[in-house]
Amino acid sequence: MKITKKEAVLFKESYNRHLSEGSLLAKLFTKAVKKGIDKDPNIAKAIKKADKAIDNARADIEKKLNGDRGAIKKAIPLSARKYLGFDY
Amino acid sequence: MASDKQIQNQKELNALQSLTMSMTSDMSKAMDDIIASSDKRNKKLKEDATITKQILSDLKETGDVNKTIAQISTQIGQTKNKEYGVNEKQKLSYQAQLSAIKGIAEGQKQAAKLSVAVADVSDEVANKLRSGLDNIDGFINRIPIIGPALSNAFSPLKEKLNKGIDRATEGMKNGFNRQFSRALANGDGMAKSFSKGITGGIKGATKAISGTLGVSTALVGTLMAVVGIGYLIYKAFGIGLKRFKELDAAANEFRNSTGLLNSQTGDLNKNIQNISVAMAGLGVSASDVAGAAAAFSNEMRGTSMASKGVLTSMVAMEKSFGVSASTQAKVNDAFQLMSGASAETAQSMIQTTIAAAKTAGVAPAAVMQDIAENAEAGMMFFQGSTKALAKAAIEARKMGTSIGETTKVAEGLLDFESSITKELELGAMLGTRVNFNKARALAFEGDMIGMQKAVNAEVSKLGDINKMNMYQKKALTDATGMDLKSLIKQQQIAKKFKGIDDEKLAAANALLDRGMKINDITEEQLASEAVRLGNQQEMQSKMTSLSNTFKALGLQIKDAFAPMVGPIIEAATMVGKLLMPVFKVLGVVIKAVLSPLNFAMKIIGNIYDLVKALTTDGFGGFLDKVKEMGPLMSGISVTVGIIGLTLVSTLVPALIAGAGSLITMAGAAVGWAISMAAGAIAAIASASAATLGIGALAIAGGIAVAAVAMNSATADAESSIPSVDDGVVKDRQVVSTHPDDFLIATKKPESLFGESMFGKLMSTTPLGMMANSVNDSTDGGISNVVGGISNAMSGIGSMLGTGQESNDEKLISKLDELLIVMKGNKDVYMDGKKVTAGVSNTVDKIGANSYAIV
Repeated sequence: MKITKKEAVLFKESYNRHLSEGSLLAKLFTKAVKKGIDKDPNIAKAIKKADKAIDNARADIEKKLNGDRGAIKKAIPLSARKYLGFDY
Repeated sequence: MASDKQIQNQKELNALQSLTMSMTSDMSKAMDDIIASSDKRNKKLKEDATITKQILSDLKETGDVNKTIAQISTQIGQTKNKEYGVNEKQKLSYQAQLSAIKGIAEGQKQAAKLSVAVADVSDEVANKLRSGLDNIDGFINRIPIIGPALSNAFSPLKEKLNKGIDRATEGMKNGFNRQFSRALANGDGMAKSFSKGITGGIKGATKAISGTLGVSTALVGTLMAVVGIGYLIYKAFGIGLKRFKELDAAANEFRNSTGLLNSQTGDLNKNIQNISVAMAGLGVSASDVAGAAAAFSNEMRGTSMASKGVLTSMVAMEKSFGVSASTQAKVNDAFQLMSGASAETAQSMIQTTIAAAKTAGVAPAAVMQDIAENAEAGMMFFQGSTKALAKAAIEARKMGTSIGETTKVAEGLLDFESSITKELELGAMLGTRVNFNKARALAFEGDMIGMQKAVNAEVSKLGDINKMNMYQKKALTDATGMDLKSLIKQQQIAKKFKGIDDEKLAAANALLDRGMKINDITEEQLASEAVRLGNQQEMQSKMTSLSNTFKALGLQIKDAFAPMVGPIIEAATMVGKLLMPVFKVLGVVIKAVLSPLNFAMKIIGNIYDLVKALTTDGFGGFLDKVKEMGPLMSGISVTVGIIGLTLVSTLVPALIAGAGSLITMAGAAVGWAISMAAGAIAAIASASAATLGIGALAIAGGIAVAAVAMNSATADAESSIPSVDDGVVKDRQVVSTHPDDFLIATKKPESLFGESMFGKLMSTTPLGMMANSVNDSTDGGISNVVGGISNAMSGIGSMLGTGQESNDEKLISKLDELLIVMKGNKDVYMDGKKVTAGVSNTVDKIGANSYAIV
């Protein structure tokens, strides 16, 4: 079955309408959640700690391997490198 | 055993864990690489890497990040000083890998904390929302009467909303973890990843709700619930207000009827409310209770008020047995006086009498009415026995008579001399012996019923009353003290129902014997007995009874809502009182603001009246209207009218042609008025123009004033008899002349005489006299001036009407000339009488006349 452009727009509109139906309660809910998160001091602390740990690990790796990208690439798998903020 | 919360948290960490696991696997492979590439000659590196691999494997299995961090930290410490021999070059890579594992583990530990924190906040919000819904449901449920039903109606919506909240919570957590992990895996850092996670959570929550809960449904449902609650509160207030008004009106009715004040009515309002609710099943209204209370209070001459028990009894007896409250109040008073009992005991006696009358088969209302109307006689003949009185009233009714009649018979019989004479006369007429001695003796003893029976027995011996002749009948009524109708009726009843109702009567008497023994009765006992008796509903039909029952149900509801009205009304009254001064000030301000408008409307009204008078009644009507309005109002009205007319004429030339004739007429009329008022105008014109400062048109406006003044002057002139030389003239009639005078009568005097002579003859009219006096005083200049003004003013209409010669300046210059002359001469005399003074006085009434001619 091939969908025409017109039909695609129609489907999209229908889907958006479907989504917006729950928006009032969702807005009420998410607004309250956001407010709760903003008020939670532990969240900020956790973020800070995590960023510090990742930064430290990255710095340590770079130091150990003298910033040698090739050596780093060889030693640290891509997923770990990405996680630790290496851009290569 | 892990708690539900822990299990839930663990689930939520799955997404994060999968990230951790994925990286752990990759790092584990890296360890394999290290192991594979290490030189076998030195096994230390291989051993350490194997341990690391095991740590990672444990992490995969247990997910215990803390343990991993601790173990890796130990390894990092140990590798620092460890010699790896031939593998020393790989040591740095291994150490870098350990740092990476530690960094990842620590990062993921905080990430897990964040995930849990978001989950906790979401759960907390969800709980609050659910609790809010429960509170709404509880509130709805607590609404009197309709609450549970409304709550049931709200339930499906509540369930839907709760489901929505659950899904939103789930969506929030999952959405957050998914986006958060993805961002972390992409190396976005913790802060950015968290932010992306929140966005993902919001999207997840929104998506989770959509499709399961239509906001349109929720919104409509909520709105309907809110509107429904509001409507019900409004209706409840309306119902309460109706009941409140009913009670208030009843209390007001009582106060109006008794003259007692609010502060003197004690618990009356409460009693009215309670009794009307309690007795609503009998059809008792608040008004009925108030009426009974008023009847009682008035009967007691305001010395006492009916207690709740007495009131309950009164309304119950009234509604159930048809005995009016006023009758009961009278009997209550009589019983109290006869027996010295309390109001409650007296009312109890009333109840007993009513019950006895019912048992005896006679109308309780008639019996009570009889007692009430003959209370005085009752007190006289029954030696203070309320029981005897009640018995007599019931038995008398059974015999077809009343206490009133029997006591009248007793009074007649006890008038011995007269009674015996009449008795003898009756005997003589009937040719038989008539003896009322037994009846007389019983009457003397106070046994009214025994007396009546003795009379009836004696009468029955006389045969059929109807067969007696007129004289015999007359003698019979005289001797018995009874009317003929009553005699025949009692005779028939005695024959027809002899012995039939004796049992009933005996039962009634027994009831009275028991009931009247009660010397003291409490309010509660009285009310309880009243309700018991009242519930017999002897007066109501089945339909009325049914209707009353439902009314009583409705009243219960009304009464439940009535208390909510009082405080609102009190608050509203208080607010009203507080606002009173503000509104007073506002009223003054509005009045002040509107006063110019009112004045303008008055002026417009006056203009309309003047125009109407001019067009319908001519100039005479116009003058009358001007007089009626007074100089000030007429002056202003005419002035404004002319200004308006001028403006309209100037601005709308097209209208001129249409209105031309009318305006011309008005102009001519004005001119004529000025001509007539020549002398007066001079003073008025100068005064009006100067005082009001509105120029030439104001002078024209002053014409109306002048007309009034002129009219007055004319009247003065007419009331006196002026003279011309030695001739006396009134109303153009020559009253007298000097014997030496020679009179000529002609229609064209100018053809016979010179101008001065004609002028003298014209001076016989009031107008001419004034003109002449001015003329004389100004050495001949004024008559020409006045004539000029007259012509000029006559032309005003034409000028305004056509718009071709808007020549105000000409008019003003003419008037100015007149003023100069007038001011120069000051006083104007007419036949020796100063006329300008009168004009000046008129002008003074208009306002400060600083220009009055003196």
